[in-house]
Amino acid sequence: MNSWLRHHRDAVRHALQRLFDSPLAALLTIVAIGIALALPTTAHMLLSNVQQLSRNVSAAPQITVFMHANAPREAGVAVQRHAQQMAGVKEAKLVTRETTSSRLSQAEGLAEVLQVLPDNPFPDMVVITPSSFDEREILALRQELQHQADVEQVQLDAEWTRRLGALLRLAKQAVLVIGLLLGVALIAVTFNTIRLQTLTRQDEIAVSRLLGATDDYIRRPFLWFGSLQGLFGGLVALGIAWGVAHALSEPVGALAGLYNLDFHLRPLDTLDTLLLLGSSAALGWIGARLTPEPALRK
Amino acid sequence: MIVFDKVCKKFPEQHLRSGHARAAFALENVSFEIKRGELALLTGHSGAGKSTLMRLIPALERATTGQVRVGDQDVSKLSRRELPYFRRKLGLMLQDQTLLDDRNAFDNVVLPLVIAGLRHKEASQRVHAALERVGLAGCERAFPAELSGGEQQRLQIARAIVSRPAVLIADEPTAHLEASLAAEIAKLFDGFRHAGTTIIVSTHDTSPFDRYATRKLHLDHGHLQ
Repeated sequence: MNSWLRHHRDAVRHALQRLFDSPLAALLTIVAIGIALALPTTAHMLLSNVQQLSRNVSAAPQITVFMHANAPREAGVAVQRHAQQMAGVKEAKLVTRETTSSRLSQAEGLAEVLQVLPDNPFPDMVVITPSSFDEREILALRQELQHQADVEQVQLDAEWTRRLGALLRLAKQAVLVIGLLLGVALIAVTFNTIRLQTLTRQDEIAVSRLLGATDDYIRRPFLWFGSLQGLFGGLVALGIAWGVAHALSEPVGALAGLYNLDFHLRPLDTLDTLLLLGSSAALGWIGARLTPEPALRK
Repeated sequence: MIVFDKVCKKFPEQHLRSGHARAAFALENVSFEIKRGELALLTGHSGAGKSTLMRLIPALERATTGQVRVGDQDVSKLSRRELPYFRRKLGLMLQDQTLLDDRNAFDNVVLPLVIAGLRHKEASQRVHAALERVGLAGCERAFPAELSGGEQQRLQIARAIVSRPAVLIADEPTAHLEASLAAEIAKLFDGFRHAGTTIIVSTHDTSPFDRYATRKLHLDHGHLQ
């Protein structure tokens, strides 16, 4: 092992020793860092789950044309044929009122309701898949279909997913901003801890300098201290996020079940975990690196 | 080995109560040469410039004019990057170089070797040898506060010699020690000299070193007599 590696090994040992020298103070700082990091981490985890859910639900826009309740079957067929000939339409399917009723009667709780009703309440529908995702083209299609005979309503089905997507993008930006602010807070906390350490270790720094210690040698244990403190803070944040995922998993699963969705809240994946731990250690390193030179030059 | 050539050290102007300012000369036109294997005594009253001269050798202070050389290195021209590596070649025992209270005797003495990046096994052997040489064998685990004044002084000597320096610089190494302990330390220094180490000792009380010194330098108000 060369001397550079030996110096790093000694610096890690000293940094850990400094953490354990005042365990309560170190623990409180680490918990404070962990809680600060847990907020954006947990928010990111929840958003990733919601994003995953929205991906599972088809995001391809669909236009559903609802015919009048008393419109003849031929009217629906005519709309379907017309739609198939329109530019920008990939597919047009006629869903008869009987098919809709049959599908819904299989859903739990709805069969009894449908049996009570005297007539089939559903209209015929034409479900159209546009070939383009362009919003203007889709809106033009809807406009044209709206004017067809016996058409009651034309609905753009993907609208809610687009709204959800926009909301998710906004929430992600908010999480990023909060994450950046709390990252700055972590740097400030580490900076202050290291500054206080340099004040209490002036003798050690001065003696080491007299004995031939380089700037890097003096700085190294402080950098490792900052990185380890950040890393342990990241582990606390990871624990909190895992705890939140574990606590919410069952009720979220039950809620998703009510909407016939097979959805389970997932904790952070390996990449996100590594990213969290790596960035928390890096922020701690930055906080320690910002310690002013004069404090280390006594 | 150690050469001072027309060295002047002037501290920044001091502002007096009278409103006048004056430059404080600590050393004026000091020249001498200490050869390899010599034990030189530096004497003088308080404020004569002894400590300033001692601090010029490891470049804790820089000469205002003149040249300080140790071996083949011009100390005045050492860059900030070169300085740590130069200091590793010296054994320093200065007044402001205290023992670290939160480290035991072994960890205090091993520090120069850790800084130099020596392997643990070799460093450990050298520390035991150095402690044995100053009569502190078996005290490895003792903290400075658990040692007497004389033992602390010897611990500092062990730290100064552990890296086997070519030059040993000791500022008041026998201060506040009983005569018998001071004589013991002087004898130790003589042993180092015979092993080839060049030693410069600054002291108020020359009596413990008189019989071992090969040269005496006397400073008076910054002038070498």
